[in-house]
Amino acid sequence: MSDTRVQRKASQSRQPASDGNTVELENLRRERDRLLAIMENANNGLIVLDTKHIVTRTNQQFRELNGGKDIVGWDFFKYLHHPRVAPYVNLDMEIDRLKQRLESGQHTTLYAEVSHPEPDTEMHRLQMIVSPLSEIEGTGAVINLQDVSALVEKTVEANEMAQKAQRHSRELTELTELAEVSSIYGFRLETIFQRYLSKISGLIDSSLISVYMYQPSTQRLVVRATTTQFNEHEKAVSLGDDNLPGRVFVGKRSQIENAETASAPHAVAVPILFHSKTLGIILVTGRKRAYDNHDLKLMNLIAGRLAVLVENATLYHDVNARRERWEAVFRFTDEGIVIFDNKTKIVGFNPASTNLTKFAANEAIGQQFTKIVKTVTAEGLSLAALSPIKQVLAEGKTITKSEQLLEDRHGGRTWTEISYSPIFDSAGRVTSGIAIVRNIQKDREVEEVKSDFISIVSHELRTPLSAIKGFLSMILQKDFGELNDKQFHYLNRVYQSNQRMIDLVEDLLDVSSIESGKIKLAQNPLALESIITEVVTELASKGFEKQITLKVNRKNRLPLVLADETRLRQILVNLVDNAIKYSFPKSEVVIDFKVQGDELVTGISDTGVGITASQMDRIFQKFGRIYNPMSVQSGGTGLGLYIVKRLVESHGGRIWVSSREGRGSRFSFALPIAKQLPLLE
Amino acid sequence: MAKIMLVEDDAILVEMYQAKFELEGHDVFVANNGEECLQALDTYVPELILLDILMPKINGFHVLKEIKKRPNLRQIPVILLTNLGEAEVDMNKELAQALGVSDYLIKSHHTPDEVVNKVVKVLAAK
Repeated sequence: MSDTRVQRKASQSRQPASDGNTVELENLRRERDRLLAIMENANNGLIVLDTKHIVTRTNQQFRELNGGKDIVGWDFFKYLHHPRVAPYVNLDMEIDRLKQRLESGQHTTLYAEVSHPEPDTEMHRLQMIVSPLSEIEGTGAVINLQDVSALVEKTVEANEMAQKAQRHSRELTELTELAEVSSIYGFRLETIFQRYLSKISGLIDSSLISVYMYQPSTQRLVVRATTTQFNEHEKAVSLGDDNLPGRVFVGKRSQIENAETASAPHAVAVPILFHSKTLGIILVTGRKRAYDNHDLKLMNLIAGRLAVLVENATLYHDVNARRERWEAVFRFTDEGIVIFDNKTKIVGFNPASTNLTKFAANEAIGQQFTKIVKTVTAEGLSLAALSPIKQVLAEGKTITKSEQLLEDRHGGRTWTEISYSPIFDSAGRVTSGIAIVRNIQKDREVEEVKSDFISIVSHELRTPLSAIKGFLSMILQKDFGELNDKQFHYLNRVYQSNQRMIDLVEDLLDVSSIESGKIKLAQNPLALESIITEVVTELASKGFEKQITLKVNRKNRLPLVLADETRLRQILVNLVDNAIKYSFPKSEVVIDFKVQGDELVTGISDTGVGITASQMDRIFQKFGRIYNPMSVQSGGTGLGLYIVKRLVESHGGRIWVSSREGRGSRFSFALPIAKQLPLLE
Repeated sequence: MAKIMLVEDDAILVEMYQAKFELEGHDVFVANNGEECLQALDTYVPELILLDILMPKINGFHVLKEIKKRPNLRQIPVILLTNLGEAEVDMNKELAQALGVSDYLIKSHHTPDEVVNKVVKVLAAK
């Protein structure tokens, strides 16, 4: 049909031509064939429409694109609307609009997706350029079709990549912002959690997020922060295998749980891990799209950052709470706390210290310790030179409860008990020291009243006791005539009982004078040998009744000890007397000696009832007397060993005991050896 | 037999020591307190004085000072016989010596017999 039209055009121009025009006509025909060939072989599909939009010519390429079918003779727009065509052709512009644009002489570029009715055939994406051709008579338009499928696919891919890159960069920004959360919100965990929830919501595109933290008291995971409002997430879950948070917490591995049925939501949960410790988990749900590995990676990154913040905040709160507790102690304690640096300058001074010294903290800090904490003798002489703080700093020594008379800035004096202790750094070096000053003025006063009371009572007791003792002794000596045996026997018992009472009063007096510090020791270099002999001789008769032998094991001459003779005798009498009392009959009490460093250790061993572990603790305490199955009437006051211990200690010595129940005991005491004068060497 | 002055404010103890010393054949002059003692010493000179410390008005230490002031009495041996312990009065042998005291006896530690023996010893040493 198109051929005829072109031919008609050619014949019209041929009619007026003469014979000379034959050559030109031939030329024109060749030209036309060439143009047709070009059209037919073009790479693009071409459709030529006449002014009434009837297809007048198509080329090979178009027919291939159209599944081999030609559409010449069809109204192009009606063809597109045809029910057998329309479902397979998808234009990105309304057909009528295209028609309008063509009729108004406008070029239009549009895209079409063309598929084929046959299954498994590829869809083509076509670019269509519709160009009106008004200047060529009878021709309405040329449509140029190009298959751009490959191009479009590439473009889509590129677009997707660009989107992904954009998303990643957004995620990166968000993650960076999260990293800054701690600097913005400090250690306020609730705010940090809220911030994280909103970030996760944006990044993972999910609406329901909860942070569960492990609660050791209940051994459950408890929601600490959540975006849920209608309990979409449980408030607390157990660590069992039956729930996602529990599984993730125990397994320490993040997990996706995408829904298989419409009723169960998609979910992802990640552990909040600090090193290998799981602190809690983050649960995310509420997205229509399933969760993938990318979400998991992101969530792990977020949880990792959150773990650090949680751990830091926990540490911070711990340290803070501890500091507050210590500050409260420092501030409110009744004991003066003075902290000094390694140059003995005061660096810490609590309110109680101000009460004791009358120096305010700001006056004391920076001053030399001994200028502020002034210790003096009863006569008011400064004891600064003897302050042990240098020793504390240099040797790392702890000095406990040394009783000191403290003089405040106005000269007022208070009895105090000061303990000194070094403060070490992590490397074990002494960096500073602390002194705890306790006001014992009241204790001292009470103690004095008590000891006065005891001494008065003791004196008042002694007088009638002396009378009983004196008269009885005279009666028993038969100063007032003969006694029958029973009288003699029972009066003897009265005498013994009275003597016990006298001993008790003596011990009470000793205790009172020791405790009130009134005891005065005249410490001189003494030879133990003669004192031991005296004591053994004095007590031998007591052992005699039970056939107990007193044995002194001494090979060499003993060094002199620094002791008060009366008190040393008292110590020995007490220990040997005790050993006899608690010995089995027909056994030995052995006294031996050993030089240990600059001390002489005297040991008194017996074979007897011994001491049980539970009695061991109170044996040196006041009235810590233990039951003695060896004698119904033990005759002790329960003060003997206490007095002995205090006496040994006031000599600068030590006393200790080792024992096996049912086998015997060994009491040992160490006294300082008197240093030889250089002249005598 | 010796002339002993006993300075003691407790009537029962006075009775006890007096009985013992008289049993042993000594002559006992009793002063019930420090004042009485110093008054009696104006006219009566004993061979030995047994002196209590804790007494109303004038105590034993004060009496001792007075005795040591008087040339005619200074040489009389004095034995302190008291119920004050060493700790209460800071008393010890050295201090007793410094005060010119022959001995220092605690009543509840010694029987009257022992006190008599001490007295005899001191008198013998004179």
